[in-house]
Order: sequence, then C-alpha cells, then structure tokens
Amino acid sequence: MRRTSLVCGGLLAVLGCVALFEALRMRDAWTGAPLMPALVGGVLVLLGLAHAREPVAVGEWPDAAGGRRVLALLVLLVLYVALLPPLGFLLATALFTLPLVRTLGALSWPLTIVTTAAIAIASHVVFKHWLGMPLPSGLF
Amino acid sequence: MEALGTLGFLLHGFGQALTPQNLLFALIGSVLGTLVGVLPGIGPTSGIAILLPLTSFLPPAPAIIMLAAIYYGAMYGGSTTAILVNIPGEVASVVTTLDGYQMARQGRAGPALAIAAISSFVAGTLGLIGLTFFAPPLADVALAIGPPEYFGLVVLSFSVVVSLSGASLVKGLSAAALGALVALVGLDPMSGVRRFAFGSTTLLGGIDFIAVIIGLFAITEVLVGVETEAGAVSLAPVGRLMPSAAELRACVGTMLRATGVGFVLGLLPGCTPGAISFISYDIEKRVSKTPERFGCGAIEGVAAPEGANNATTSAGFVPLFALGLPATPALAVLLSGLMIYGLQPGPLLFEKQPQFVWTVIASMYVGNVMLLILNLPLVGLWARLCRVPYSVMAPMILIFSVLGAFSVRNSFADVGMALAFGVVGYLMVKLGYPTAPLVLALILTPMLESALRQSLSMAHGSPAIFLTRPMALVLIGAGVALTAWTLFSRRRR
Repeated sequence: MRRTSLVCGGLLAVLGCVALFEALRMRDAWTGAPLMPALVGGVLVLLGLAHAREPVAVGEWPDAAGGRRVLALLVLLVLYVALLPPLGFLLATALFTLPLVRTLGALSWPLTIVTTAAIAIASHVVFKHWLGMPLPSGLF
Repeated sequence: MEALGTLGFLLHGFGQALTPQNLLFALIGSVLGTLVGVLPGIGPTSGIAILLPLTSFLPPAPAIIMLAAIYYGAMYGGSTTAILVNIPGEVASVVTTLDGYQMARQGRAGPALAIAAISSFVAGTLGLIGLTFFAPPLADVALAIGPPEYFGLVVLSFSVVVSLSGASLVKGLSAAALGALVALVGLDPMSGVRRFAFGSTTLLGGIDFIAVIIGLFAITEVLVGVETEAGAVSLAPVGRLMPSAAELRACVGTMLRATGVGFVLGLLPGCTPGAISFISYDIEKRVSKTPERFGCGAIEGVAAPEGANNATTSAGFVPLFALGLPATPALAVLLSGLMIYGLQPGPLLFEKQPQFVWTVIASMYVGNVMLLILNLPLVGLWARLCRVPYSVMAPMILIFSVLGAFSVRNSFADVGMALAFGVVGYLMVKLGYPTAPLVLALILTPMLESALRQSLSMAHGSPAIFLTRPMALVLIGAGVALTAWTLFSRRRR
C-alpha cells in the first residue's frame, strides 16, 4: 500500500522534472513563456516528495471478475474507436454495443440483438440526420 | 434607477426567452437535467460536457439556455432517487437521503418528493432574483479592474481546490497541479512558443478541455459502474403527493433560510452545492425545536438541502457572468461553452452582449417553472427511470462520450485523449485522488497565466505590482485567508 503512494509521488515528481526541463529549454524564448511551466513543475516535484509522508487511503479495487469487466470494456472502447473510420458509425456502434448489452444485461440473445439494433439505429438517426454531425460513414 | 434599468433588460430577456425556439431548448435542457439528476451513473458535469459539442449547430442563446438548464435541472432530479431508493443522483443530494429516504420508508415518499420540488423551485427562483440584481453591479465594479486585480480574483477562485480536495490535501493539490500541467500543453497563446508538444502535431494544438472532462467524468463513471453487476432497484411507492398544510407551513422558514445560506455561500468560491446542502441541513437542525426528528423523516430535513443546492446553483451564475469565474466543475464546462461561441464571460458580457445574457437569465426563471411542473406531477415517471437497466445506459453514455469528444474538432485524436483521461480518471478514483480540482485547474490556469504575465509586463517584470494595487492585494489576501480558513477547519475535523 505504501509502495502505491511512493509510485504515485514518484510519477508526479517525474512529471514535475519534465516541466522544469521544458521551462529550461524555453529560457531563451519570449519572456514569460517558461514562467508557468517552471512554477507548475516546481509544485509537482514538491507534491511528489510530499507523497512520501502521505498516509495511503486507497479506494476499493474491483475483485477479479470486476477487474476483467473493466479491462474488457477498455479493450472494447479502443476497438470501437479504431473501427469507427473503416466500418462507419452504424456498424461499429452495433458491434460495440452488442457485447456490452449481452454481458451487462444478462439478456437472452434475441432481446440483446433487438436492444443493440435499437441503440445503434436511434443514435445514428439522432446524430447523423437530426444533428447533422459529420460521422464517419465507412461501409454505409 | 439602476434597478429599473435591470428590470427593463430582464423584461426584454423574457421577450426573447419566450420565443418558441428558446422555450423548446429550455424544456429540452430541463428534461435532460432532471434525467441527469435522476440517473446516478451520470452527473451534470459530464452531461453538459457530452452535450456541449453536440449543440454547435445552434445559435449561442438556445445552446447556453439548454446547457444551463441541465445544470440547475440536475439539482431537481437528484432528490428523486435519494428519496425513493436511498441513492443520491448527485453529490448535492447526499444529505437529502438522511430524512428523505426515512420519509419514504414511513410511506411518505410523495410529500418528500413534493417538498423537494417546491423547495427547489422557491430557492432557485429567489436565487435568480439575487442573480438578476447582484450580477450587473458586480460587473460594473469589475469593469474597473486590470490584470493584477484579475490575477487576484483567479487566485481567490483557486482556493476552491482546497475545499474540493476531499480526504487528502496532498492528493487534491496533486490533481490540481496535474490539471495545470495539462492546460499548458500546446502553443503558448501569448508568444507562440511550443510547450510540451514533444514534436507531436496533435499535442501542439493543445489538449481539448471537453475531451478531458468527458474522459474524467463520463468514461470514468462507466468504468467504475461495470465493476459490479448491477442488481434490480427496488422503489418505494410514491403514494399521496402533496404535503399537508401544516407540513408546508413548517417548511416556509426552512426554505427562506436555505435560500439565504445557499445564495450567500454560493457566491464564495469553494462553496459547492454539495458542501452547502450539508451546512443548510445542519443549520436547520440547530434552529429546530425538535432536532431529534432529523434523520428520522423530518420534512424540513428534505426542504433545507434541496433549497440550498438550488439557491447555490443560481448564485454560481453571478461570478460566472459578472467575472468570468467558475465556482464548480460543471460551471467550468459551461464557461468553456461560452468561449466556444466567442462570448467572453466577465464584466464586458453585460455591456457587449446584453441581449444574450438577459435572455439566458430570463430563461432560467422559465426553466424553474418547467422543472416544477416536470417534477411534481411527473415524479413517478422519473422514478421509474432508475429502472432503466445499466446494460442500456452504459453503451449509450459511452457512444455519446465518443461522439462528444469527436465533434469538438472532428478529430479522433480527441477521442483517444478522452479514453486516456477515462483511464486516468479511473485510476484517480481508485487511488483516492479527487478529479474536481483537476478540472478547475485546467480552466483556471490559462486565466491565471495571462493575468500574471500581463501584470508583470505592465510592471516591466516586477512582481511588486501586486503590492502596489490595493484591490489586487485584498483579493490575493482573501484567497490566502479563505485557503487558511479551509485548512484550519479541515484540521479541526
């Protein structure tokens, strides 16, 4: 537990050092540009060091099954964003929604498919046709 | 004379607010706000952030009318689940669970819901009257201030961070410093120097505020939400709706006190609706002749926090419109919305865009009436909404989030940024770092930087300028004093 606090503090201190180096790099630039980076960098380093004395109060981490669900959702989100341009909004959204509805809702397959189709088509109509958003059209 | 002029502007604002388009968007905002308030999975900050980019096809007035209605509407909706299911829809409704849920268990859910809506309406509307007459003179005073005084104001706003810090000050400050760092990425607006771009053209354009908010709030909320398999929600029956005449009489004083406390404290930076609802409840308990009823289903215990959080919401618009300073993360998002439309909130807003600002203020009066109607007879309908299964809500929030982040600049890099900040937000929640200070620092840092640098260049680089300008000195001193007071009261706890 204490290690977590040290790792967080270390990360903040590293970020602070990056900001300080960035300020140093800009020192010859226009007056004032390095001022805030130097200030924020200094504060980050100090806060990072202050973590060494910080009593750790960590939120509840999920159990193994919960953790798997969080990870799976993240993978699904990355895939969704990656597949949006080639597949287009409608298909990518349907492919993204299907496993979510199935796993989170524990619905039967027919109900899952109907719900998925409803969500994908409704959001397509609202965003593309009503709001006129330039959505990636891909295959469709 | 001044007041008469204000009334004239307000009447003109009503003329605009009552046009069909503005009425429609006030209604949409009120419905969405109530929805955001009722659904525990999504708060006003993420609700506004997701919808902000999607409003770009609208003219500024209807867009801001709708977004503002989401903010104050959420304060109405938050009480519904607090009373019926013991789950506060919003932080500001946590206190409402204490007596509201007890009333529901005793079969008095109807009167509890009704008094929450009535108290919200009374305090929200009285707060708006305060906003109407308080903001213009404040803006007039603020017109006279220069960069050093503005720097003082931003320092005062930064003191909010301490009270938003939660259990650990170091963690709260760290979150704020992280937000400040994110704000600095990109071209320096004053000199064009590249900062923290590391050769990437994506980073050169800066990290978009909306993408960060969507990640930190909406995506993080869903990531935390999928951890547990959601069970079915059991609702208390609503029953008879209206409180008795005696109950209403008992609450009149409560509502007025809640309005006073909520409005006055809401003007100060650092006082969020969540904190003020606690204070208002505590005051009510102290002035009550029968304090032992509190926590066991006292109707005043519902009226006080619900009134206070709505008065605070109205008060938050005073510094936003008159000074351009956000008191809460949700208002910070609204501020960035105004900026997207090229409207610089601050003292000049009342002078340069009187029609816009008075239309929005007048629409809030209208919106409060709409919310009262939406929340009194239709409360049963809203209550049933918390039965919408998470398997439907989660994908919808995520689809909205992805599209919201994308549509700011039609860029998938922003969507990637939103996902990254979703992970950052999740880790912050799990490691006990509050996300609200990050958001405030993200919006306040550019203001702080430009005020600081303008002040320094006025004085040829000498920081002594802050000592020679009395008002700047007072504001900085007030910021330091407020921080010290918050630190002191934290320590005492």
